[in-house]
Formats: sequence, C-alpha cells, structure tokens
Amino acid sequence: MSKIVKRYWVNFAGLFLVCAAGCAQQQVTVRDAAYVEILRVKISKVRNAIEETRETIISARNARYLPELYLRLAELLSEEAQYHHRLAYEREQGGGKALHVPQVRLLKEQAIGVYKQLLHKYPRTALADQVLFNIGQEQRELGNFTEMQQYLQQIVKEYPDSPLKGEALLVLGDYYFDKGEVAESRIYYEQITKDKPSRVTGLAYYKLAWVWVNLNECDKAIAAFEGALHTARAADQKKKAGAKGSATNAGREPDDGRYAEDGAHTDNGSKKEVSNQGIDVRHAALVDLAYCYSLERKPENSVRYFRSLARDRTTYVEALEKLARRYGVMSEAKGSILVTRELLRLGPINEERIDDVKQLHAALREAKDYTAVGSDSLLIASVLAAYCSRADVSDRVRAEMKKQFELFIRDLLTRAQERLERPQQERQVERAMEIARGYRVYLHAFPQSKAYLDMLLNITDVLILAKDHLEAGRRLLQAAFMVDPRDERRRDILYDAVVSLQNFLHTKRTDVSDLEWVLARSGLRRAASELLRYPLHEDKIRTVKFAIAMTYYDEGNLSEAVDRFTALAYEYPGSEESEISIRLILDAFDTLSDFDSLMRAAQQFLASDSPAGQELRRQISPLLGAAQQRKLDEVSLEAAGDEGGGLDMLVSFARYNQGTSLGERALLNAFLAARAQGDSEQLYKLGEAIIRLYPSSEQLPGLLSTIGQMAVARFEIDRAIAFLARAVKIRHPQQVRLLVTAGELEEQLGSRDQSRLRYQEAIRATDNRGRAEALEHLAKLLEQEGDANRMVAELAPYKEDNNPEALSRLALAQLALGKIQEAETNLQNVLSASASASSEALARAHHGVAEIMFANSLGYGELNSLEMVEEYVAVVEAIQQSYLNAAREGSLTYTPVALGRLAFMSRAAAQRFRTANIPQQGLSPVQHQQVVSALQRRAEQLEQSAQEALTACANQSFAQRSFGPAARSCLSGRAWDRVLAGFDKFARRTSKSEPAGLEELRKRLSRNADDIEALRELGSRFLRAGDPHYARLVFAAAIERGGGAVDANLLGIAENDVQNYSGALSAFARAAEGGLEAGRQNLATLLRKLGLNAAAEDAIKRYPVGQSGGQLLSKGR
Amino acid sequence: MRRFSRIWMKRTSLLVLATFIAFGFACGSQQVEPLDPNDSTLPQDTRRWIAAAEDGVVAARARRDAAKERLERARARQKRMLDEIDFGSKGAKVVDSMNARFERHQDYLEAQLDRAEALLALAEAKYELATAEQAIIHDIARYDVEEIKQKVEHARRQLQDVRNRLRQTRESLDRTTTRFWQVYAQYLKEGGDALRFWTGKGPSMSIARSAPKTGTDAKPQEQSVNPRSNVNPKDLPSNPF
Repeated sequence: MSKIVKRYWVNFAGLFLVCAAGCAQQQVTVRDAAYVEILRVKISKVRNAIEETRETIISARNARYLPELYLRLAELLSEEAQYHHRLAYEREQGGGKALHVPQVRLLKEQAIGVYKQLLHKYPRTALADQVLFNIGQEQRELGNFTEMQQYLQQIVKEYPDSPLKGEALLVLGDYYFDKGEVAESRIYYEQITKDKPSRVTGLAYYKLAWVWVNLNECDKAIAAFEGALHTARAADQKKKAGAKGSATNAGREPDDGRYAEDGAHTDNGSKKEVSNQGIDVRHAALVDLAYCYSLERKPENSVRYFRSLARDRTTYVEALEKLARRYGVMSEAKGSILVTRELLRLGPINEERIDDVKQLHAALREAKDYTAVGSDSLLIASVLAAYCSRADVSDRVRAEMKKQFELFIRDLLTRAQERLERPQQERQVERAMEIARGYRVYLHAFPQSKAYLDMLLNITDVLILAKDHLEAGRRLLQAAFMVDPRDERRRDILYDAVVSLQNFLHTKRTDVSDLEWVLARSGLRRAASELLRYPLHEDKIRTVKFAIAMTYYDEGNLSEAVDRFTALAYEYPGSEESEISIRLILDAFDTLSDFDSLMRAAQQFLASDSPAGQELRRQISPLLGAAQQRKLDEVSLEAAGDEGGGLDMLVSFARYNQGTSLGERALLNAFLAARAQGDSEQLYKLGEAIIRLYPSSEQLPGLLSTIGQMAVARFEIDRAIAFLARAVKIRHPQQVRLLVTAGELEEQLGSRDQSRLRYQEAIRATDNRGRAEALEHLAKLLEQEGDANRMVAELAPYKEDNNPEALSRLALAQLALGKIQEAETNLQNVLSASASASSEALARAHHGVAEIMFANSLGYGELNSLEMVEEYVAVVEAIQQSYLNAAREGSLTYTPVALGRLAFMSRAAAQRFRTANIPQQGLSPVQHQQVVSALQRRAEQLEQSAQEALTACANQSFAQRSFGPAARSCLSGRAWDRVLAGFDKFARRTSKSEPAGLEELRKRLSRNADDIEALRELGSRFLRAGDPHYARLVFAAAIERGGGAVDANLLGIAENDVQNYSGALSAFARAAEGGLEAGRQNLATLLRKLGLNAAAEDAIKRYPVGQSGGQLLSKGR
Repeated sequence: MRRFSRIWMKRTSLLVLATFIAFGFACGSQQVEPLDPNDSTLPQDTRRWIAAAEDGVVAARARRDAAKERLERARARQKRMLDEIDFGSKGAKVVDSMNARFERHQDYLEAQLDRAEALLALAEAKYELATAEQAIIHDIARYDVEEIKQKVEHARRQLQDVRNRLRQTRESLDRTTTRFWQVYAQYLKEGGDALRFWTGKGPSMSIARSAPKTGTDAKPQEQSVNPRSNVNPKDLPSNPF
C-alpha cells in the first residue's frame, strides 16, 4: 500500500512540474502589430485593389463608369505610393535626411499616366477637374512644380466653377508661400478670398493673413484673420443647418459626399484632396491673430475682441495665452492686466497660470491700477487654492507657491491702500470697499501668515474709510484678541473698536439688519469692558462707560441699563453723561410703565445729595408729578376693577402721600371707587377723611352732596340732611337745590319749622330767577300749616315774582283774611298766566274767584225785588261756574274743596231764596204766588245741587283716592265751610335711633334700588322700631318702584301712625284696589275712626273681598 | 365557623362603610364640566360669554408664566453680578447693600408671581362659575352655584391679600434701592474704585486663538519700501517677461 501511495505522490509531483513548465512557456506577450506590418498589409491590400480595378477596367469595355474606374485606379496607385513612402519613413524612423524610395516615383508616374489616359480617352468627362487636380498633386509630390502649376492653372482656367478651383489655387499659393515668394502666393490666395465662398475660403484667408504677417502688414493680417474666422464660422453654421436636412444650392457642396474636409474617403471611394490638412482655421486664426493684434489694436479691447471671435474656451484661452506672452514681452501693462485676469478666470490651472499671476502682479504694479485689487486678490488666491489642491504638486512646491502668492497679494493690497489714503481721492469709499474685499481674501487665505495681524489692522483702516464701521469694529476686536494683553497697542486697538462700533450704532436703525445690530452691541460691550482694564484718560473712561450702558439700553435690557446709568451718574456728577444718564433712567422706567420706580428714581435725583444739576432737577419735578398721577390712575383702575382690587390700595397710596395733592386725589379716587362699588360704609369713612384732611378741597361740595344723595337712597335721612347742610355751609354751587332737598326731607319727618327755615334760607340765597322752587315749596308748606297770616306775611314780599303757585296761595290767604281786592289782583295775575301755571294753581285761582264772588254775594241784602232776584240768580250761577272750573282742574286738593264750597254756597243761596220777601206790589196774587213758587223751586234746585256736589265730591274721593279734610267733609255729608283747603298735620318724629341689622338691607338696596323685598323689610323694621316717618318714606319708595298692595297697606299703617290720615286712607284704598283684604278692612276702620261710618260702609261695599294677608290696624269686619 | 362569620360580617361592614364614605367625598365636591364655546347648539351669547371667561384664564396663565420668567431672570442676574463684581476691601457695605437690594427685588418678584397665581385662580373660578350658570340656564347640568360663588369670593379675598403683600414688598424694594445707591455714592466719596462696577473681577479676555504673534514675539521684519505690509521687493518674483 505504501508503495502505491509513494507512486501516486511521485506521479503527482511529476505532473505538477510539467504543468508548471508548460505554463511558464506559454507566457506569450501580446503586442500590437508594428506600424510597418500594418503598412505592408495595406500595401498588399491596395495592390489587390489595383489588380481588381485593372481587371474591372478590362471587363468594363465602353461602360459609362469607365472614367471613374480609371480615376480609381490612379488613386490606388497613388495610395500605394504613399504607403511605400510611409514605410520607408518608418523604417528610417523619421530621420532628418531625405528618403529615397523609387517605388513612390514609379507608382506616382503610373498614376499620372492613368490620369492622362483618362483625359485623353474621355476629354469631356465630368471628372476632368478632379483628374487635373490629382495630376497636379502628384506632380507636386514628385517635385515637378512646373507641371504642377500647369495642371492646376488649367483647372483655374478651364473649370472656373469647379469646387477644386479653390483647392488648386490654395496649392499654388502654398507653393509660392513655401518658396518664400509671399507676394506671389498672395495673388493666389486673394483669388480664393475674392471668389464666392467655398470650403477653402477660410483657409485661404488664414494663409493670406500669414502672407501679410510676413509682409509686416499687421492691420491687413488682422483683417485676413478675421476673414478666416468669419468664413469658418459661417461654414460651421451652414454645416449645422445642413445637418438638419436643409438643402443647399451652392454647387457641389460638402453634403454631396465628395468633398468632405476631414480627409476621409467619400462615398464613392475617390480620394478627397484638401491642402494643409489638420488646420483648424477657427482655432489657428484666433491664436495667430494675437501677435498682430498686440501690435495694431488697443489692449483695452483685447479681451472683448477675442471673446467675440472665439469658438470655444480652449481656443480663447490659447489665444489669450499667446496675447499675454506678447504683452509681457512688450511690457504692455494694461493689456497684461486684462488678459491675465481673463486667463486666471478661465484658464486651466497649470504652471502657465502661475506665470500669469506673476505677470498680473507686475503689470498692476507697473500701471499702479488698484481699482480692482479685491477681485484680483480673489483671483490670485483662487488660483493658488486650485493649484495647491492638485495631487501632483509636492508639499515643497505648495509651500513655495503660498509664500509667493502671499507676497503678491500683500504687496498689491498695501500699495493700493497707500494710494487710497492720499488726500482728495475720488470715489474713496468705493475704492476702500474694494481694498477691504482684497484684505478679506488675504485674511481668509493666509490665516497663518506672519503679517496677519498687520494686515488685520490694515483692513480696519480701510473699512473705516469705506464707512463699514461694523466690520471695522469687529476686526479691531479680533486684532485686540490677538495682541498680548501687556502690549500697549492693545488699548488703542480696543479704543478704536469702541469708537467704530459706536459709529455704527449711530446709523439709522432701519438701514441695518437685526443681526448686525446685535453684533455691534455685543462687540461694543466686549471691547469697552476690556478697554476699561487699561489706564485711560478720565474723559475716555466716562465715554466708554456710557457706551456700555447704551448698549444695554438699545437692546432693551433696561434693568441693566438703569443700573449702569445710575452708577455713571454717581461716578461723574455734573457731567454731560451724568445728565443724559439720569434722563435715560427716567425714560427707561417710563417705557416700562414702572411708575413706582420712576417716582422713586425721580425722588432720588431730586434729593439734596443727588448728582443731578439744578436745571435737570427743575425738569425732573414735572416728570415726578406726571408719574405720580399715572400711578394713581393705575391704582384707581385696579381698585375699580372687577378683580377685587379693593380700596385698600388707593387708601394706602393716599396715606403714603398724605398732605399732598396726590394724596387728596387718591382719596377722592377711593371715594369714587367706593361709590361705584356701592360700599357705603367706606364712602362715609372716606368722605369724613377727605373733609378732615383736605378741608379746602375744591371737590368737597360735590363730595358732600354725593354722600347726601346716597344717604337719601339708603334712607338715612338724618345723615343725609346733615351732609346736605354741610354742603350748603361750604357754598356749594347748587346750595339752593340742596336746601330745598333738605327742607323736603325735614318736612317728611314732620319738622315743619326746620323745613320752613331751609326754604327761607334757600330763597334768600338766590335771586328771583333761582328761588322759584324754594318759593313754591315754602308756599305749599305754609298752606299746609293753614296759618293765613303767616302765609300773607311770608309770601307777599315775593308777589312780584309772579310765581303762580305762590301767588295763588297768597291770594287765598288774603281772601281768608278778608283782603278781597289784593286777592283779586293776585288771582287775576294767576289766571292771566294760565299758559304757564299748573292745574293746581289754576284750581286755586278759580276757587279764589268763586270765593270772591261768593263773598260779594253775601253782601247782598234781603231779596225784596224781582230785579234783585234776577241779579242774585246770575251771581249764583257765576259762582257755581267758577267753583266747577276749579273742580275741573283735577286738583286732588282743591277739587273736593271746590265741590264742598259749591255745596256750601248752594245751600246758602237756597236759604236766601227761601227767605226772599218779594212784595205783592205790582204783581197779581197769582203772579206773586208764581214768583214765590219759583223761588222755592230754585231753592230746592240749589239744595239738590249742593247734594250732588257733595256726592260728586265723595265719589271723587274714592276714585282719586283723595281723602283730605275737605274730602272727608264731603264723605260726612257736610259742605266745606272754609276758604282754605285743610291738611292733616304730621306728628313730630320722636324716634331717633335706628333698629339693628339694617346695613345688610341697605347694601342690597345699594346694589339694586328696586329690591322691593328689601324695601318692605326695611320699612317694616322702621315701623316695628316705632319710626313711622322713616317707614312711610320707605314704603312710598317701594310703591313708586313697583310695590304692590301689601306695600300700600303698610304705607297706610305708617301714614296713620304719623297722623297723615289722608295719606293713610289713600294707601289703604290703593291696597283694597289691589285686592288685599287687610287694606279694605283698614280703610273702613280708619274711616270709622274718623267718624265716617257711612263712608266706611260704602268702602266695604265698593271694594270686593280681597286676599288674606297684610297687617291690620285693628280688628276689622 | 361562627367566629368566621363574625369576622366576615365585620369585614363586610367595614367595606360597605368605606364605600359610602368614598362616594360621599366624590359627590361632595362637584366637578363642573366645561362647555364647548364652539358648540353650535348653544346660543351665541352663551358661547361668547364662556369664550370670554376662557380668554381670561388664558391671559392670566400667560401673565403667570411671564412673572415666573421675570423671577428666573432676576435670580440669574443676581448670581451673575455677585460672581462678577468685586468692590474690594472698601466695598463690603456696597456688597451687603447690593445683596439686600437683590433679595428685596426677589421678594417683590415672588409677590408678583403670587399675584399672578391669585389672578389665575380667580379667572379659573370665574370661568367655572360662568360655565355652571350657563349650563343651568340651558338645562345641560345642575350645579350648586352658591358653592362656586363662594370659590370666586375666596379667590378675590386671596387676591386682595396678595396685593397687600405686593405693595409692602414694593415699598421695601424702593427703600433698599435708594439705600444701595446712597451706599455706592458714599463708597465713591471715600475713594472707592469706580471701575469695579464695570469690569468685575474676571481675568482679561484671553487671546482668541494661537495665531502667529506679532510685536515682540514676531521675527523682526526687514525694512522695506512698504512699511505697512513689510513686503520687500526682493521677495517678489520678477516678471517672467
């Protein structure tokens, strides 16, 4: 087994070795075939083609295409010749010596022979021009120039329209050009250029241009180069148009396939002949144009010119490169600048760009043209960056380039800056901005430069000239950070930074962005704060501190700003900065609407140790006053708000400012707020406080009347009267009104004497125009008192006022006293002013007139004649009418009086008639009897009238709910026997203490004056406490504000208690009408109490049984 | 078994009692369900009313947040100033006075925050009341309005108390501020350093980067035609043309 294994391994090893050897041997390097071999192959192929063509020619006897075959044969022979030539060339490896290749000559001569044969056999062939041209080319290549000329000339002469004419001329021109006979060559070239355009026209122009160049006629050369460029461009455009399928009609054009320019074979296989193949006219013409352009044209237009003619960037760049070299040689600075700039912008980044940079730098220095130094710096730096980023550039070269370029840029910028700083430079700002731009490029491109700091400082100078204070400041700050803190320059740099940034911040705010503003402020603050660490002049320190504070102020950080300004004010008292700081502090607080701080600060600066000057203090005082007022307004608003502000704040504020006008205003505002809130307790307290602390306040009268009115509304009558009286004492402008109000109140409380005095005081306090109301109230009061003497005594002095209310009452009083004539005059005055007189006054007037007539009628003697009877009848009727007039006025007081008096008068008249004694003299008995009967009837009628009047009076009482003494007299069936109306006299009020627990009810009424429940309860409490005077006022208010029968009944009870029976009866009647049984019963009870039982029965019948409830006077039926 | 039933009954009773108590608590404090101001079934006036109350809450909340922020800022400022400013040995009173001022300021701001909280509570109570009233009016729910009104009144009273405290802290702040400046003025009069307030005690700002230094640290530059740039013409490459 081991043997077999061993054998196996041995065989395996052997096989492995064999394979390895085989693999090693099979490593054949495959290379491309040598060019020589290729040529040999081509020669073989062309020979085959020649043979084939010959055979085809032989077999194609008399064929129409035989000329093409001959042509093809000749071309093949020529082609083989070319291959042999190339083969020889390759073999000799392009050596400089001439080649001797006999096959070439042989073949070419053969080709010529074939061409000639063709011409001979087919003299009119369409290929003749091609054949001639080919012969010419062959002759040229054989060096038979004479023959060449001959054949080519033949084309020109015999085939003027041939497309090969141009070719022929071109070859001829090239021949002479190559010989150096440029003038001769010009002739041929010009023939092409002057002829119609062909595909060689562009080239001809180009050649012609070189002719001119050689003749030193650069202007003509430029024209020729331009001609070449334009022609070539036109041809390109035509080709493009042709490529889209548009037909052309200029002879046999390239699109027929035979005469393409690129040297490829045509479709039919014939060779295309183009002299000087490989010249891109548009490229070569533009590039070669550079030399002449540099001599003939202005360099300022060079870039524009070449750009307009360039086909593509490559051509353009190459032309510019040549031009740049030309300008460099010519030391033409302007041109160099323009051209190198363009090259740096567009050219590929290679060593030539490095040279361009150097040339640009030199040219700029030469021309001292730094107007675009920023752009130039950017260009240079961009080239450097692009060059250094190349992978094939070593580190050493990079470093070297950086060093060089850094020098270039630095040199340019600094020179530019030197020129800038000369005085009276035009457009200085614009130039400065350009230089600054360049500096920015430098700083960005060379951050590690040793000159970085200097350049940084340079840019700041430039930025200041460019008025870019923001960047100047920021750069200065940057520079400051780079300088050692111990370096003295640092202080100056920081100071410059502060000044720059401050200048920026003086710019119009709308012209800068928010970001810039923020940057400037923060930069200024940093610079200024840092600057303060250095020893500075005091003025500078102050300025810097102020600048710091202003940054806070400008950014709205007012709390910081205030602290800084305050510190500044104390540090430099009396200085301008201090004064401005103080103003700004106050302004800051005003802006924040922080009136507390504003007041505190104002007071601080008004204090004796304040840093503010006298003038400033004078200005601060009104500010303090305004702030105090605004604070007060704020506190007042808050106190009056719904948010439970309370009066405490205002009161505290007032206390804090006690003794000042502000304190007074605060208290007044608190008073108003209390009134708005309905807080009566506070209102009284505050009112008292104001009166005590500010007795001279102009607001006192209004305040007191307000309190008085409020007291009335709360039914605190005594208090109201006291406040009203106090208001009057301090000469309230409305004191007459207040006195009348006070008098009314006292009247209601039964204090008639006091009331009378108030009215009299009111009358005395004013003239006749202002005392009408007071006079009327007085007259009414006196009438109610019923003292006619007093009425006359007190009212007569004012009769000239012609006040109807007073006058009518005066007249009645006079009547009552028997002063008929005076009364009559006054009554007439009232009646004559009937338009302005009230119905009450008119009622009195009519009543008075009736009374006068009645009084007069009483003076009649016994009726003892018919004439007297007749007269008396008329008088009675007149009196009746007058009383009825009085009743018709609808006066609640005088209607029952008039009706009652009518009844009285009627009964008296009836009695007169009954007791008349008419003599029989002159009358027959029958007549006499008739007269007596008539008088009796008249008496009966009058009795009846009297009764009717009383009935009407009684009915009227119930209907109108009017139950005064006269009405009650009617109800009892008795006629009123007095002139003056009667009135119930109120009982005097005895109770002065209030029942407990009324405040809650009063608060309810303060919040809602129409709270009937509260009113009822309030009145009831007064009633129970034995104060019916207050109670009746409350119940009357309840009825006025919508109260019902219950309230009317309670009013009746209160009125009864004050002995105002007419009021009580009226209220009970109202309650009965309202359906309250208690009212009905109370009405009857009171009527009975007054002795009017019949009326009581009538009342029970009149009103239906009402609802239960309500208080009774006593047990009723 | 008997013992077990006793224990079981006792436990059950306790459980039932606890349940009742829990329900009692739950039912005792009513929760007012908010009404949607966008609910089109409600009359417009109702919706406006509720929306207005809502706005009040939103505004109050915003004011509360602003007050918080002011307080935080003030605290940060105080810390910063105390860290940065140094009045030296002569300025101990100034520092004390400044501290006092800061503390009063904080008290004032805290009182402002309390007021804002109180206003927020009041706004929320009023919102609850408005919602409850409208719900009752439109038969959506039943609530004990009196209880809610009590809440509103309570909130008002709280606000009033806070306002009083605010006023006191304000007066205190004004006094300490005035005192501080008086102390500072005295400090200056006694020869105190007027720069301390401005420069603080921190070190000078350090150099921003380790850029090549100029001045004493730099290699002295050669004299050149252009002193500004220190560019020596010899360093410039010559024009190749």
